[in-house]
Amino acid sequence: MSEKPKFAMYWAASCGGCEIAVLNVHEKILDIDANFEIVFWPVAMDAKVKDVEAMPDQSILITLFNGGMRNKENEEMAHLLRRKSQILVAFGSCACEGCIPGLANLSSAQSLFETVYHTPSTENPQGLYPQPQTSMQEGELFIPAFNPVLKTLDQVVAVDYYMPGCPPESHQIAAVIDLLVAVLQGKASLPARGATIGVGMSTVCDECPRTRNVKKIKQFVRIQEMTTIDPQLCLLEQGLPCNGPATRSGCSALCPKASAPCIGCYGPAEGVIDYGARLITAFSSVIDSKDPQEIDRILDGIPDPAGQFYRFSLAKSLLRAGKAAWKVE
Amino acid sequence: MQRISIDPITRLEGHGKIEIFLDEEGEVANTYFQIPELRGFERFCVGRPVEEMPLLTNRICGVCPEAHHMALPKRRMQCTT
Repeated sequence: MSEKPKFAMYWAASCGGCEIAVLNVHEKILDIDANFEIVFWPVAMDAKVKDVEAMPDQSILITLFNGGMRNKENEEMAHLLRRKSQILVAFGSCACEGCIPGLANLSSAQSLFETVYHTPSTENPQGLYPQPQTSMQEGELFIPAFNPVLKTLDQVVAVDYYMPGCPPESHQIAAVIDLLVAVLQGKASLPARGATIGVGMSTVCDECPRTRNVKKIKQFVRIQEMTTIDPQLCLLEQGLPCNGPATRSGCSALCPKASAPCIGCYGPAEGVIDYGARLITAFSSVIDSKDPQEIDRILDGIPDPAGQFYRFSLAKSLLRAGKAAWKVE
Repeated sequence: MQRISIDPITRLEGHGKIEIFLDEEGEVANTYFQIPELRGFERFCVGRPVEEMPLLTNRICGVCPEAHHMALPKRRMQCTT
């Protein structure tokens, strides 16, 4: 029997991109295999839920858990892996703050069903929606009940570390693997519980090579309305709503370097409680007007405020914390 | 009726479960393939700016984001021509 510490990775309501990001560490994946026994990782190996249930509690050293809590199965797996793991990492934006699927929290579960099961490409003449239990002639079938809102991992179980990013950058994952191996060899110690790991400690702006001036803006523009983008100047100062000022560093400012505004996938910068609130503050500071009507006009240049300010972080935001969408509508 | 559950199905992107029912002779009587996953992209993409779409839809699948990313610009080109 292997003496190596055990490693697991699981996805809840996720896209699989976090798994790909881990595989993108290339030969570093061999370090994981050399130092850990991989006991559960649905995308990569055949261990089943019942195999995890049979493991002693706390027998997995570390579990990287990605994906949000969209249904009861996601929550049951979160509880199961929390019980079996010494270290549970909220891995990727979905587990940390809800990510893009968190935008569904602006709609009720019922309206999601009504849309999803009545698309032009969906054949559903009886208007059926998923039921937790269905009786077939051979027996009962069960699918997990759908949650009224998408929750983050730490809204369901205690989390030891957060590793944001959509997905976490592979060089950051590699650095965390190196740290873990060093800890196993007694050459390093783990960060304080609750820490955000595999990240920078400032904002995307601080990693961005573009020049920032004190220039204020008179209008926000949508990227397709721009004929040219200055390759050196700050995108926000060019009127593009760039989320860099509120977003945690760690990606090396990949998007602004490619003349695309930061979309905020690394989540709130260190010390920021509510991502959207910080971003609103940052945008407000570049608006060049003291006239309320003109300010309104400038702000109208942001066509989708909810998506702009909470694109990745709605499920974790203070705005909707603990509120179920279906109660609001 | 004997029942074999494969949960989860593995080594692919996505969540799924297979329920196999065997008859008295041990032959497969029926099999159900279940996909419990729903996040609601069809709903929350509605009403959002067109330039947002490639950012949103490539999160449908992180294994094949290119397909979802490119589908939206292609569709947008069709809309404007």
